[in-house]
Amino acid sequence: MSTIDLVASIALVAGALMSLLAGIAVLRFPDAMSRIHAATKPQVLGIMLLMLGVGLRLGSPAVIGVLVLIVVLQFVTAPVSAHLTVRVAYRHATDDQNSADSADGAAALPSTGTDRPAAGDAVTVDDEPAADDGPVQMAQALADENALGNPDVDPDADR
Amino acid sequence: MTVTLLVAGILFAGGAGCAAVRLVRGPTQIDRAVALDVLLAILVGVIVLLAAVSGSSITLVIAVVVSLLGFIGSAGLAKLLPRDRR
Repeated sequence: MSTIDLVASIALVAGALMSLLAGIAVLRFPDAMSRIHAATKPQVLGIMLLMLGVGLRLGSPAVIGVLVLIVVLQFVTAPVSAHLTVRVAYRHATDDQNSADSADGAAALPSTGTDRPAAGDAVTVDDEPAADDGPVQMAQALADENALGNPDVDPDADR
Repeated sequence: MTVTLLVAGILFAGGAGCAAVRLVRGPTQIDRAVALDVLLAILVGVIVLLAAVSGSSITLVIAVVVSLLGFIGSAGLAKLLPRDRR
């Protein structure tokens, strides 16, 4: 085994290790956004290491052109898709926090099946002051929620 | 190269297994979309690894197509997901 093959093998195994780390992180991380953060690693760094390994192993110019094409495509598309997914996850997270104050939101929350500890903590923390509040504060909180919720809804209606 | 194939294949299989578990029991649809994204990245890695070990570059075209398909699927899911929540 020559030196180039050895370097190619190390790059291939390192790229595979990135995929294993992403899989473990997607399985173990508690939140959707941290899962997305970990899932972007094999798409950019892992693919780059694997392409380095294949380019060192095969080495013809046509193959290197295809490999550079794959790497450039991943570099362009992986942040865009991660951004789109994170935007949806962020809106769902803020929806959970906003609707945790109202009664129907608290009733609708278990049906979504979120077993994240952050969402459960937010519900229990938000329920206690709501029980102590008088009607004036409740109305004020509802008005705040509507004022907060409308700019969130409007860009959605445009699309 | 056989040792490389074995070690990298085991690592890929572990990552794909973890992502598949998250795909089956994701609490929200977003987690399933993320797990599918990771699975497609691992699929591209496996195709590229097989091309490197076997020494033939024919399967690299499939890797290009799968990486583009992963972007299209993820972007489409991100567009479609807010509709079924509200």
